[in-house]
Amino acid sequence: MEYEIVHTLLPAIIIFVPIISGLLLFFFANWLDPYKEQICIGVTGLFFILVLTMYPSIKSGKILLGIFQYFSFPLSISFKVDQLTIFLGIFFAFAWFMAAVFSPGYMAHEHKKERYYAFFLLAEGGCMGTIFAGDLLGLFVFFEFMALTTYVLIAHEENAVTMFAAAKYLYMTVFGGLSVFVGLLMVYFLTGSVSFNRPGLLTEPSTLATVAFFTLMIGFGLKAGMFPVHVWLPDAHPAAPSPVSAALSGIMLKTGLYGMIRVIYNIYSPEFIQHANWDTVMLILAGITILLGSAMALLQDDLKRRLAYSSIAQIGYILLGIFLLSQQGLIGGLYHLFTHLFMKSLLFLCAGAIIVQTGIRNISQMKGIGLKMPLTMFFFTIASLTMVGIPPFNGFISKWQLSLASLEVGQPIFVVILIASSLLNAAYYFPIVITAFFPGQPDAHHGAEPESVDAHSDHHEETQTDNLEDSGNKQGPSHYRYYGGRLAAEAPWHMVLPMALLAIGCIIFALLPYNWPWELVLSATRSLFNM
Amino acid sequence: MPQADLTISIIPALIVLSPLLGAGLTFLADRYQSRLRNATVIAGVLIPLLMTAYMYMVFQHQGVLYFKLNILPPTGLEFRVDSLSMYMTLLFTFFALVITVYTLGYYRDKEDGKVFFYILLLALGGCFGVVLSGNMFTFFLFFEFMSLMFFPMVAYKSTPESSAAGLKFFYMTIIAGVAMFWAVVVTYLDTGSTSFGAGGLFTSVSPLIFSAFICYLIALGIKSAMIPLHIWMADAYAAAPTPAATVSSAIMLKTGIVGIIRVIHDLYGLSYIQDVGWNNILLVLAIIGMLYGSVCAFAQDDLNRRLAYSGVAQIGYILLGISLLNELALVGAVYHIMAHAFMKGSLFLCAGVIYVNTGKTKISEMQGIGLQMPIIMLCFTIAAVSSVGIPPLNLFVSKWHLGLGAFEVGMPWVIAVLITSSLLNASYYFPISINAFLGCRELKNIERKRLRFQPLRIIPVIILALGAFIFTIAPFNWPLDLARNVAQLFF
Amino acid sequence: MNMALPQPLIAVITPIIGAIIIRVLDESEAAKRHLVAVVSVSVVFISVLSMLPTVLAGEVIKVNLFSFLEGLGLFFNIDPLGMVFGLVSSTLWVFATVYSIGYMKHEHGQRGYFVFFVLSCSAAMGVAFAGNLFTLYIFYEYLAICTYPLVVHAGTEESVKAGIKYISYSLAGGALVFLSIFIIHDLVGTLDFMPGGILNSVAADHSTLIKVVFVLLIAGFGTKAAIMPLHSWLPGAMVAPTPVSALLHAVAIVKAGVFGISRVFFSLYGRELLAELNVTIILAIVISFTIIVGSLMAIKQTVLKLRLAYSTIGQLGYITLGMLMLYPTGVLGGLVHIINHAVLKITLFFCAGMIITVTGKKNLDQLRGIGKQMPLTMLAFAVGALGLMGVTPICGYISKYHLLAGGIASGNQAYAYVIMTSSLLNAIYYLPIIVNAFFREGNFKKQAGPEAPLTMLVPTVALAVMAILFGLFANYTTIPFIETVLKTIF
Repeated sequence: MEYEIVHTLLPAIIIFVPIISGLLLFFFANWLDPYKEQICIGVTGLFFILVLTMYPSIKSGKILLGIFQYFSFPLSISFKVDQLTIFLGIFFAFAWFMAAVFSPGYMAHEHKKERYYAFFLLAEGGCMGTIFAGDLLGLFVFFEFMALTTYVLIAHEENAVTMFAAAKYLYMTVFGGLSVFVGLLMVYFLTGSVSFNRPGLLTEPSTLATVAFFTLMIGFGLKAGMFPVHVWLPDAHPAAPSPVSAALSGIMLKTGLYGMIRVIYNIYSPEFIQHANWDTVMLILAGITILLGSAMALLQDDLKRRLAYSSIAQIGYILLGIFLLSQQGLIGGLYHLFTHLFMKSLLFLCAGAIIVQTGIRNISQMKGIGLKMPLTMFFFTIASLTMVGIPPFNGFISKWQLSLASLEVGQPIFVVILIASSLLNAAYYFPIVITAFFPGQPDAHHGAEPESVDAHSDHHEETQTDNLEDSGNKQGPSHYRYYGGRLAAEAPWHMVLPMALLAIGCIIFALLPYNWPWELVLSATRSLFNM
Repeated sequence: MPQADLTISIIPALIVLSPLLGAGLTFLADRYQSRLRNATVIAGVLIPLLMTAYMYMVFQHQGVLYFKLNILPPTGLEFRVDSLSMYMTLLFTFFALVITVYTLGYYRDKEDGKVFFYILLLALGGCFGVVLSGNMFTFFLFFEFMSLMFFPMVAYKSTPESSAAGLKFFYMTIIAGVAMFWAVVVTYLDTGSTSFGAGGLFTSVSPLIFSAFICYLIALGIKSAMIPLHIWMADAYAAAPTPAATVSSAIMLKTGIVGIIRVIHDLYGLSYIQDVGWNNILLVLAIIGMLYGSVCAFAQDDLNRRLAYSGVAQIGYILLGISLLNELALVGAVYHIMAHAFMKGSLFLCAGVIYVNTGKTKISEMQGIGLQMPIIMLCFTIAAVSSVGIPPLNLFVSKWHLGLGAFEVGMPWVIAVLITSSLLNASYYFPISINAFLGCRELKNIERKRLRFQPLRIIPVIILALGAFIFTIAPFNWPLDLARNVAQLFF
Repeated sequence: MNMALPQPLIAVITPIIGAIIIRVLDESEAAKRHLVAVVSVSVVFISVLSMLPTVLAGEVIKVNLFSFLEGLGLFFNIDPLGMVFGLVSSTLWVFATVYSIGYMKHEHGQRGYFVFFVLSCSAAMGVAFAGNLFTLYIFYEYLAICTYPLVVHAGTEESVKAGIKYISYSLAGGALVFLSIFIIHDLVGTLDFMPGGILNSVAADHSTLIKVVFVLLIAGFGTKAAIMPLHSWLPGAMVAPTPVSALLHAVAIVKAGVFGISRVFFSLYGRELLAELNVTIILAIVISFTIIVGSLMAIKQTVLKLRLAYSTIGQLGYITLGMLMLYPTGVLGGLVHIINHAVLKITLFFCAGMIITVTGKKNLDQLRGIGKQMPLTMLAFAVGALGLMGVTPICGYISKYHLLAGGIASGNQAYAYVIMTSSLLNAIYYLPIIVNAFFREGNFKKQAGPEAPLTMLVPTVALAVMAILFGLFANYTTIPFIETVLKTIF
């Protein structure tokens, strides 16, 4: 398939919008302070729209390429938007936007908000820059930039636990970056180029090529949360403020995966890798990642930690799809990427809403919370269903696709692993949902009997200190549910809205006749395989 | 390279002379007309910078510049400006200006800073002379002079530690002088010349010539803090006033490096060294230095000491690049000279500001200091991040070239050493920055008020921090271009 | 090639006249005395200087004085080698005389001092100009006698003892030389100094005897040249007033001894004969020993002048060592060190003298922080010390360089190592003085006015500057001078 290359610096300019806004917010914090939330939301929204504007050109078969003659240190870097990039870009930008909208509510009582918003924008710029990069060097630059800016976000709380988690993240990510650097340098040395233009830069096997491949995989895998370099994830994602966790789990992990895809398809080639039998190693790692993540998730009581481990497992799915090295596999992996993006972001936002409203982080304390925060838990449920892979939700589609791909390639064992993992998924998600709505035996904290879920949403759309009527529970003194010492009430509308939009995204595409993400995935895969 | 087409020019001599005259004028100004004093000091470093800029333009048109005086037997006093000298002089004169401006701010309120400026200017004159020298003997003359001038800078504070540190440095300098004298004599005897630009003077191999090589390494290694001759550095940097440490780190250490480059390429010659393989000595020492320096840095609590050991590690990078005998690696090494100067200069200046305003020297006391001086610590952070090699900051470029050079000579394992060292760099720089800004929410005894600074103290810091990335994001990476020219000179 | 000029006689006679006039003057007439002294030595200097162009052009100046027997005459024969010693001595005598004016202001017996100070000048000139061994011997003894009163000037018991030791060593050395005179005259019938030596003809037959004579001569001159173990008079002689120590014991007398050795080497024996006789090796060992041990003992000293004295012992060894190499570069190094060491050592002693005059302090540990009070002095001291260590561009490095180069090039690398070791040792015993002076806290405060009498300060600083100039411009000054000497040897 022929793709027309259009030379434009539009991708580059788009990237700099959040970066410059972030820098302005950082340096002029004093003056811009009253507007910081608006700026953040506005810029992320604007960015989303800008990304969308590139879509029509890509759809019509063009590729946007911008070679930046500046940054000649020592090579110039380029920006390129092709089918894969636009697929990721649209949904990444949307998720960032949602996280930005969610933030003011979450951060209402936090400290140092200016820093948060500034680095939020910078991190978005870095993250999007990674996928807009047209060569490995550019990817690396934004990769590191994203890593450093995310550090500040993770360390936001500044207490001992957070600082430790953030430090672990920082050093591991630096190590990952250095690993990518080594691989990048070797690729350059072997081939004289690092750009993604041609398929398969490397064609001859050599020791150096092998080392380069594995260092690149380790480096990107670390970011993605692949076993065995995933150890920073379970600490970092819970430690960050929830919108950031959403961004981390939903979006930033995927940049690592993106890196891997580019390496496999644009630096090496699938044939090369199959020839060298590296895919076997990576498939084994993917399998372990899936099982490990699922198993560990079961053991966690902290909700965010459970979600973090779950992310690890889900990333494993995507890795599986990638390393099957087939079109089917890639389609399954990429579609799952999209699915997980929506699901996990939504789950973390829900967790964030719960934390803000009640101060509770632990699952064991969340009995009956669905009765007080029905919307939130409704969305949580939708996400869980999608995760587990119940048809007709998105998750089912991706898992189906992955299973098909595994069989096609002749690795039926992965179907088994997929099924096992799905069961484990169910085992660690459904109890949360169930106990949220059906708290079971009442104890001193609980009062009324379960009500149905679809309740009294209209009443709850006010600020958190609202005095609400729980029409199903006409109680006396325990009129209000107290959780962790705070009044439990549904989250404010500006936090519910992003959750709702994400939830819609989780289900709608599977239900519509035209599954737009699916189309995007198909065109992305085609572009990678046919170029 | 052929010695023909040398343009005679007196500018190099003038560049060397200006700071010396500046010192004399400052002395007079202090006696008779103290209002002019700052002006004479600045003139002493600004004039060389302007002359260097002019010389650069001349150099671009006319090639190598040369000047010889027939004094100073047995070889005569020769100045020679080739790509390497041009690069180093640009770097040195620039840094001389920035650091001197900073020093004016540092000693602004102190009476006892007067003599420091004389010594500083004299030392700078010596440094310029070293990099502009055209033969090894002239190099040696200015080398010794510069070292002798540095000693009083170290011992300036007159505390017992300063004296002890100064003496240690002094005795090592004497050893360096003796060693180098021997080496230069052997060179002159064996080859009849010590002049640069011939692409290699020695032709035969003998134990005597090897002893000369070793003596060169000893002398230049002491100056450039090569393992295991670095032992003077940590004490000296901890005890000396910050401007002294900065001058040493940004400028003087580099003279040792330039010397090693000259020795390997101009005195012995590339093919000679390749045949005898003596560069491997340097390679081993460089690698040990990179790792040992980083590990030691990690263990220090005193900020200046940590920076000193880090310098040892960074010098290891440069020596690595030189010892690989490869064009790309040399580009990396030469570029790293500049990158390290900016990075280390900015770090030391930050440390100086911290010391002068809060009196703190220990890292463990610096919790939350970013709240008091955010701009300074931001500059510190930029420099620290640069040291890990994160693009688009300077050190990335150096590491890129060093790595590629290592691959080209068939030693890919070197990259593992580079990575380890980078990680170690992160481990001892990041905590300083992190502690400065984060993690102090709950602590009670942190000063939170922002301090106001005199511009003289802040602006040099900012300029140097900018230098960490301004070249790489500019359309045209000028130092990289210059570094490539330098490498082409020798390959 | 032989010319007769009046200058040598003027140079020798004028100081005698000057001394007589000073003797006649009253003790209290200081100004006149000083004038006469300075004029006398200046006249000497000018006359010597005026002979320089002639000698450099290759002409030898001959002045006949007396003739006893055939081959045993008293005459002057001024060749480049003699010119070196003569010019150095006469130049530095002027400086030292000016310095003495300031130094002796508060001393006793000034008249007697100046009499013998000026008189010794004529003896030194005679030594320089001597045309044969006999003349050399006569003026040599004359020099010893003239300087004896200067050594014992203080009049203390210590100085008397020192004087006795001094004169005994001198006379003993002289006796050895005298003995050798007889033997040589017996062998070859002449004692004249000739380039290439006079003993070649009898070398084959009497080689043992000639070797013995060599040892006698070296021992004889070696006492004055402070070769170990014949050196012990020198530290004792430091009790003399500092200008005396400076000029005579650092410059004139010990250089006379070295000069004598150089005459033995090059004008009696000649380079080729020495090489054949293989006597140089033993002497080299002794000299190396002297250099190293001299330096080591300097480290142990706590009195400044004594440290300088032992340093002299070591440095003199350089000169002989250079000559021993029998190789042009090495010999150049040794001979140029006659000039360099003289300038540097006299600077150091002058500084020591100023310290004693102004502060009364003689011990090194009393000198902490003295740089505050006497910065110029200590700077000059630093120049002198660094020069002796061989730091470029002060003249000392020229000698060091040529000695090293000569050692390596002539295949005697061991000599080079000795020189390097000695440099290091020099650093060890000189640097602490400078460091203590400037970088330690002491009880010294900046005084108003000049830090020392100008008659002392100005010569010292001038000499320090001269040392630097001789280093920078050696290619135009000292080296060509010595090269003319080399032409006569090689």
